[in-house]
Amino acid sequence: MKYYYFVFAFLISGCTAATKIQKNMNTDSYSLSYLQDSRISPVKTNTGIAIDTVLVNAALNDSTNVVRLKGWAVPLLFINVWNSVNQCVQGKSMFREDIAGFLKASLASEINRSGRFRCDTLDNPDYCLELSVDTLATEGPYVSRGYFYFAIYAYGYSYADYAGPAVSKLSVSCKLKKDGQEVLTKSYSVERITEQINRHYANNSELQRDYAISMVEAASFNFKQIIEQIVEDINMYLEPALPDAPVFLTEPGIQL
Amino acid sequence: MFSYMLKKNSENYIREYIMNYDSAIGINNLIASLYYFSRNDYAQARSYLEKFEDPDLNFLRLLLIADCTYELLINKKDFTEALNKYQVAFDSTEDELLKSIVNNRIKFIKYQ
Repeated sequence: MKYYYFVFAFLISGCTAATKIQKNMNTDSYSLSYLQDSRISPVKTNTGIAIDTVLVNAALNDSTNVVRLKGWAVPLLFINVWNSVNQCVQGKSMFREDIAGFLKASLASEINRSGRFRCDTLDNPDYCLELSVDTLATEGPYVSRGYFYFAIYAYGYSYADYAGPAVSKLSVSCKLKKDGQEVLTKSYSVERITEQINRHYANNSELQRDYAISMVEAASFNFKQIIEQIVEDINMYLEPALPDAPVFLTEPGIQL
Repeated sequence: MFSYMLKKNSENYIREYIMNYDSAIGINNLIASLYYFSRNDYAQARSYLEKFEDPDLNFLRLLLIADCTYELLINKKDFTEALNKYQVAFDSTEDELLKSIVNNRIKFIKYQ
């Protein structure tokens, strides 16, 4: 009975299929939410900025795709060796939030935190902000390699799956308008590389899940970086032209 | 003393103490909350934490409230409510070590 088990194990041993990785990475979606750590602005003016439009022009697949780049296997009579490299490309399905809605809400939250101006409604704002997400892409390798040998009275095996490092890129264009005229136009690009996940997992589906989370985490970090930079740049732009006397906040937790 | 009793599994003594303590003494609310926290009764733990006030232990109070909020979430994948509480704890301190504790909590939540 034991003998048949080994023969069966020998026959089924091999690299993780790209379709299986893709299925596991598409099983769930993960939040882009993050903890804000920017400095809370000690002053707020009455200048109001409304976030008018947020367009997502980035070419993003609906679901995460896993493509086999290269791979080989040597299924000999007593030894089976395999190595495969897959490329995982993040899709919308990995995100729990709608991209445009997330960017708008996170920017509004950051304005309330570190902005020296306030986030206004579209009724009669001093300035309007238009945003477009031009690039949102995260991709990285998934490598599967191992061997299994069977020598009648002895057997041995070794296998390992490695995920990453994935590269996450984000580009956002931003237009600040006053009375319909562009007063500030800027493009932002950031890139973040995730760490390779190479520790042993009892179940490879957990590794693939953690890989998906790390990709979303990298995208989340990029959004955080760009959102903070947008607010900082608008602070800088508005600083010399602040029409109102600053209002100093004295709420607990806010340092003056 | 409390942690010693917990370690020794002296649950009966702790329960007896909580039943008879003077709630006017602030630290007792923290002791009660930690007791309920150790028993995974997060709703009770949070209610005692909300009564507890001590400027020196404010970060701990806010962090535990956030922990309880997270544990009480029905859908742990939608952790916005807990994240907001962690944000309050994060903003309540300037200590980088304490801030890193909150950051690690968020990392844990994301990968759980």
